[in-house]
Amino acid sequence: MTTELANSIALWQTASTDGTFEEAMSALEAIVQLLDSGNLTLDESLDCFELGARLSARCQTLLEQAELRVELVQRSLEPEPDSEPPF
Amino acid sequence: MLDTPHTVREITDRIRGHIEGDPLLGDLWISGEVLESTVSRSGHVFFTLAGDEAQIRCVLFRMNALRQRTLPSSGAACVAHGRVEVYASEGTYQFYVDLVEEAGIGLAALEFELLRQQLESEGLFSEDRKRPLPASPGIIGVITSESGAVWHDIQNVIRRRFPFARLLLAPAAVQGENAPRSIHQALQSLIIDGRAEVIIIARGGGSVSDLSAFNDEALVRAVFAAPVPVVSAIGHETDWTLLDLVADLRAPTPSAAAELVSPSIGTKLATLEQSLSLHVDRFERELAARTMDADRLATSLDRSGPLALIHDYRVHLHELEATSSSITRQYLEESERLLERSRDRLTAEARSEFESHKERAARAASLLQALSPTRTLIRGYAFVEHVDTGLPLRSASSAVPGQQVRTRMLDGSFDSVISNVSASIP
Repeated sequence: MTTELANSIALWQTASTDGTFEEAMSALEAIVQLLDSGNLTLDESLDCFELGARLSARCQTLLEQAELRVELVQRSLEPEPDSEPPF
Repeated sequence: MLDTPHTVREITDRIRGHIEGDPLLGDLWISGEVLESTVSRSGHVFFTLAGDEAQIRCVLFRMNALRQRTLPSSGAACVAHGRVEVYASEGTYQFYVDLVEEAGIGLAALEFELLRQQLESEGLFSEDRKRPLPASPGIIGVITSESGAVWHDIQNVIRRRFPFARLLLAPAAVQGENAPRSIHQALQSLIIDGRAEVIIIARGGGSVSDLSAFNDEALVRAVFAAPVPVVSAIGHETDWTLLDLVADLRAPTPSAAAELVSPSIGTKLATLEQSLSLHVDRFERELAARTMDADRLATSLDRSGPLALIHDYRVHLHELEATSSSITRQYLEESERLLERSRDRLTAEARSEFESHKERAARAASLLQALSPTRTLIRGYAFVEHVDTGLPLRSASSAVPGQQVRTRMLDGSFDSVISNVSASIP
C-alpha cells in the first residue's frame, strides 16, 4: 500500500468515527471513486470497501440525528427612505 | 430703441434652453398615431406622431430600435417614451424616443417595460453574471413573511432534503406599500449578517398588482449587488418580475426554491451506497478466481513440493501409529486377563467373608431388636429429640423454652416448641 493511500485511509477512518456528515460523505465519495478506478489490490479494495460501509453507516446515523436549525435575523437597518433611488 | 438683431444661433440656443430646462420635456410619454415611419440605412427609425391636428417628429435611434419588441408602423396607435430636444441644424424640435409600445397598455406596464430595458442595457439580467448555487449550503437565508404557508413549506423541504442546514429567516412584508422597503431591508440585514451562503426571496401566489414590490428598482439593484446568489420564488409561473430577471436563479414556487438550494443528500447517499455495493460482486468474482489459482497451486505443490514431503511423513506416522497401537492392544489385553483373574479370586474371598458377616449381622439384629425403642413405641410411648442436633432429650431439666423438639412416635413424628418447663421433685 502506498503511503498516500495509507494516509487517506487514516483520514477516512477518523471521518467514519468522528466526522461531520459532509466529511463522512466526501470520504465515502472518494472511496467509491477509488474503488471505481480499479487501481487497487484486492486487499486494498476490501479495506476501502469496509471503510466505505462504515462511512455510509455513519452518514445514516448522522442523518437520523440531524435536526433543522432555524434562526431569526433581526433587522439591523433602520428605515432610510431617502437613501433609496427614485423609481 | 432698436435692439441689436439676434443671430439664429442665439435664438435657437434660447429656445433649446427653454425646452431642455423643462423637466417634463426631458422624460415623458406621448401617445398618438404613427405617420410616415421609415427606417434609414443606418438603422435609425424616423416617424411622426399625430393627433388632434398636431404632429411631432420622432426619432428612434438604432441602439434603442434594436431593443423594441415592435417598431412603429404607419397607421398604428402607439405610446412612446423619450425626451424632446431641439434639432438646431434643421430648426425643429424632435421627440427622441427610447421606447415604443402599442397603445392600450397601461402606464404601469409601460414603466415596467422601460425599467426592464434600462436595467437590461446595464447588464443586470445578463446570463453571464448568473452565479452557480453552492453545492451544499450550510446556511440558507430566507426572506419571506414570518407567518404563512411559504415559510413552512420552505422549512419542510429543507428538513426533508438537507436537515444539516441552518435557516436564517429575515422576515419581510411581501405585499402592500411597504413591501419593497421591507424586502430590501431584510436583504440588507442578511448581507450584513454575512453568514448566508445563498438567499431565497419567496412569496406565495397573489394578484399581479401585488407583485409590484418585486419590480422595485432599488430592490432589483440590491439583489444584483448581493455578494451571494439569490433565488427568486415569487409564485407566478407566467409573469416574470424584474426580481426574477435579476436573480441568479428563478424558482416557480417557494418549495421549488428550497429544493433548488438544498442537495438531496438522501438520494446522494443512496447512490453512493449503491455504487459501493456493486463492488461486492467484483470482490466475489476476484475471490473465486484467486481461490481457483490457489487450488491449482496447491495441486502442483502436492506433487513436488513440501506438501509431498508432508504426505510421506504422514504415511510414516500412520504406520508408526498402527504399530504402536498393536503393542498397546497386546498390553491391554494382558492387563485385562490379569484383572479378571484377580477379580475372580477376590470374589471368592469376599464371598466367604460376606457369609460370616451375614451371620454376625443376623445375631446383632436380634440383639438390637431386643433393645429397639420400637418396642417401647409400640406400647404408645414417644421419645423426644432436639430438632437441630438430633440428640435425644433425656431429661426435663435440659429442656430450654423456645427450643424446637421432635417427638417421634411409632407411625411418625411431630415438631413442637418447648414452652413451659417444670421439673418434678424426686
